[in-house]
Amino acid sequence: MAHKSNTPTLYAKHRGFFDVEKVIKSVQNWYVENNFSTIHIPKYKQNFPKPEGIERQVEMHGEKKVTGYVKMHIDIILHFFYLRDIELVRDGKKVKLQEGSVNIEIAGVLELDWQNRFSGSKFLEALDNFYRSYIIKYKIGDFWDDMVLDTEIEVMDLIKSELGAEVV
Amino acid sequence: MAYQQEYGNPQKHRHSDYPAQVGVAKWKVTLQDVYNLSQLYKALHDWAVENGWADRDEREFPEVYYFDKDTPIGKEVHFWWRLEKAPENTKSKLFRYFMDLDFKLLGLKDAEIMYQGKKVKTKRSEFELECSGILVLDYDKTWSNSIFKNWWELFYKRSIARQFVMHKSVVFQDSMKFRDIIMDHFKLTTFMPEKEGGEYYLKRDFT
Repeated sequence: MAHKSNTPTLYAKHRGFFDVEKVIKSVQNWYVENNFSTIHIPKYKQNFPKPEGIERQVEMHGEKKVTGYVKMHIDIILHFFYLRDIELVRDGKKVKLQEGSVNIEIAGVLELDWQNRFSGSKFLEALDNFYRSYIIKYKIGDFWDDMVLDTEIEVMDLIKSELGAEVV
Repeated sequence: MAYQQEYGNPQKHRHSDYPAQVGVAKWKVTLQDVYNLSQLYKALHDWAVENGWADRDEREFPEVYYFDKDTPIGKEVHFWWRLEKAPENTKSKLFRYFMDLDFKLLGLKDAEIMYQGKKVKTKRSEFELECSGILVLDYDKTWSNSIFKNWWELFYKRSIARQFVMHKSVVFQDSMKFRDIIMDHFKLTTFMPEKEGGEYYLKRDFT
């Protein structure tokens, strides 16, 4: 039976000048380039333009098979506020950007036995329980959980670099 | 609580009769904006016909549901498209592509805006579209009606695994291309690297 566990969610906020289309496109391309087998975009929402700016919300979900037993899910939520089109001069050239705020949320989930090979009988479920709790217990905690968290950090760094924020 | 007797026609999903189906693409777009509704509808309709998802005959176009209501904030319109396509270049009926599209327009009103110094008549509403791309396996039930029905999963997961992945990617790409027409019309971020149909489908230029 499939068993899911959540890894810590990463949050970030940024306010400044950035290219919204480039940020969203870079996240979409990241999913494709990192061989995520399933990519969903369950939400793309934009409200009516208001005097203070446009509000836009994008949610993306990706699934990647690590092994025949382990699967990684990465959910990314980008919430843009007070977006306004502006023109800046950078390195002597006029550049069209947007000014506004963005809230970033990245959540990861580690799914074990995603093919449900250990389902169908109580014996197999008990076997799966024993396998997870005793045999691969430390591999889950020290390796796979950290792998999901590292992936979340990698995509957060990518988004921050696209926004022009400080990346350590 | 009163006992509810079972009735003869229990509700079930239209795909539940098929032996197996795989959800390939699922997305939702909710946009509040001013746009040319008739232009967008025609672009989506033409794309579905030209890419083999719908028949050229208008009477056969799969708009299975239409609902219209006047509300104080504007019209509320719901309509559903149930697109279906057979895989190209094959006579096999093992796979079938389905794309379920649920359109919802809230607060639909006429609007007039100034565009390039001219007054243009458009529509203003919340445009919502929910899409499910589904790959149905064993569409003609050849395997499930044969003596080898218990070997079906082994067959498509091992023997024709590459074809299975190929068909999944076709459904996913077509679903994203459909989404890109809408995103391109509203001048928003598309998913596919190339523009669908180049500049053939008009953007929201109100002309």
